[in-house]
Amino acid sequence: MTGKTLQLTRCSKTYPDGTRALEPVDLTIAAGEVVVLLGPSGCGKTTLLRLVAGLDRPDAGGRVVLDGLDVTAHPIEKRGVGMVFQSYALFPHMSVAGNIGYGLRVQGWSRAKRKARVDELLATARLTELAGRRVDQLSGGQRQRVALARALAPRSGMILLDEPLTALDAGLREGLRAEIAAMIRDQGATAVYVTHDQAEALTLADRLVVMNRGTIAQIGTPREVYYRPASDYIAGFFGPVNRLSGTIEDGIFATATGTTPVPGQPDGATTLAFRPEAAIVGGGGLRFQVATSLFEGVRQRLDLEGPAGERLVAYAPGARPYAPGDEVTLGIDPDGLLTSSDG
Amino acid sequence: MRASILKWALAVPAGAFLVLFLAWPLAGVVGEAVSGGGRAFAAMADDPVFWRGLVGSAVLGTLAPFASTVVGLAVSLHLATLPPAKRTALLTVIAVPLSFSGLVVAYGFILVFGRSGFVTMLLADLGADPAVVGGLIYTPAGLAIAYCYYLIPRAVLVIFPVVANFETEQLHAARALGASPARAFIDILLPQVAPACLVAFALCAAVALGAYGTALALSGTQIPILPMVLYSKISDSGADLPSAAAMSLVLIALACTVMAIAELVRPRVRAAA
Repeated sequence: MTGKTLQLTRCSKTYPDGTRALEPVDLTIAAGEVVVLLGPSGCGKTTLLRLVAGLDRPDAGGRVVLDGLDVTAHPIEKRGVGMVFQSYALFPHMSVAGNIGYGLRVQGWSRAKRKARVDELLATARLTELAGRRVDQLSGGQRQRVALARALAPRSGMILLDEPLTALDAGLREGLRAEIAAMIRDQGATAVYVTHDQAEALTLADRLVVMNRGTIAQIGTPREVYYRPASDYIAGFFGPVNRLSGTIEDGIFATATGTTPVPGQPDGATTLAFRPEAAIVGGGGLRFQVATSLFEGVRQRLDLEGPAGERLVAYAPGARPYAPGDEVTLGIDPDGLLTSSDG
Repeated sequence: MRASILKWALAVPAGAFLVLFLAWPLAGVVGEAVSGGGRAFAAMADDPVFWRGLVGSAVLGTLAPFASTVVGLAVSLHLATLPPAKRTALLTVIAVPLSFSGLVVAYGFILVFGRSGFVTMLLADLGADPAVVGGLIYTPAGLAIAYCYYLIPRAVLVIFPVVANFETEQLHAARALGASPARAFIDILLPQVAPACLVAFALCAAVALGAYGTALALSGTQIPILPMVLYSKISDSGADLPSAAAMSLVLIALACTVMAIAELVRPRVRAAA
């Protein structure tokens, strides 16, 4: 199966009470691509997904084109898209196999083809032993996999996922991320995945669409968005950003707190922006004092203060304890410097 | 020790009530029915009036609860789409007929659908024979419509909680898989509310089988349903207590059967609500 292409043109959504949930949006998604819509709640990402699904219609002038076919006026059942809901929306009166096979039954697959396809998906989703179970006897993670298998079963070529992992606890989420990504790619489907979880978005996406206040704030690969954010807002959305002003001469960055090599950076006065993990504790000649330290297990977060009141966040390995007032030296990993995508 | 005495003491009024007003009279009925060595049952079986009453009750006890359950489901589905404040207000209004006397309902029906009722006269203007139209409410089928008046609220009260808890996204999920709205309704929603509908049907059937106030007010003892036959046995001159007792047992058995069906299905409804 090859995935479908998706083209959204001038798609906006205004609700009857006048609330503008989505400003006009253009978005093109290639066949087989996994696109993640990321943003805080109320940013319009779920609205956009509902427009693609056919659960809502765009305002006049908006067009939704699936595989070259204008489906703007088609209801959801005529669009041929699989959908995974945050609540899973499994059918409680059917078995696991019954849920997965429902779409095939509706679409008139023969009994033999149906069984073969359901068996295949049960195996892929590691649910074979649970085929005859009722869905209310399953764990959250198992339900999630049933929902995904059910949506993938009819080979529709397009799958929409609305916060599919949000209802699960953190540990389970991480494991399922990889599994979801593998299942979607294995089935060759184009996927639009909505989440507010940055780590989930970075892990899963071929392309990331960051949304804010009903508009698309940036589109790019996860690395592009993470290292070349289009705005301070986007940079901040993925965690703290350090900014340090100084001058670069012959690849040496000098500030009031000391110097550190930044090979490859152009000479001149500059402000370097970098994330905490690019600040190398004990690795250079910038001197800072520990203001607070938070032990998080795998690492510890250090809030640092320079002599002129400069504030930085850095991560150090967890094993060695730091106390407020401790002196640390810092280097900067030049590969981890953030550059503005428009400059 | 004292606590347990107190616990039992609290149950005494209800226990006494049950013995005095339920167990004792019922035992009396059973005793009366079997007093002649089963002759009362034989007489009953030979009595065409009893059989007509049984058929009438069967028609009434099927039609009225069926119609009430269908309407109750439709009303519940509509209520579930409303905002909570509107929904609460409407539920209160819907429950009002439950508190009306069956006699009030009956007189209302006579005024509107009786032989010189408002609707009957309107239909007569259109060429319908008022004797036929007006006579309709005096048949078991016509009576079924009157019964719906207070059976529908009962059906709504049973079905609505299950419908309200139904996850609408399941219908979206089914449609995303290619099901038409009608198909999604039949495949996904109906099976999940079916147990509640069955309970509503059984509850309404039990009420419809036993109720007689509305029937009495509408047509006196002329209408052939079991409670009316029974009523005529004890109220008319020359009360025939043994056969009245035998019929009572038949009526109790019928109501108990439908209630037993409801109780068997009820756990599944609780799980869904």
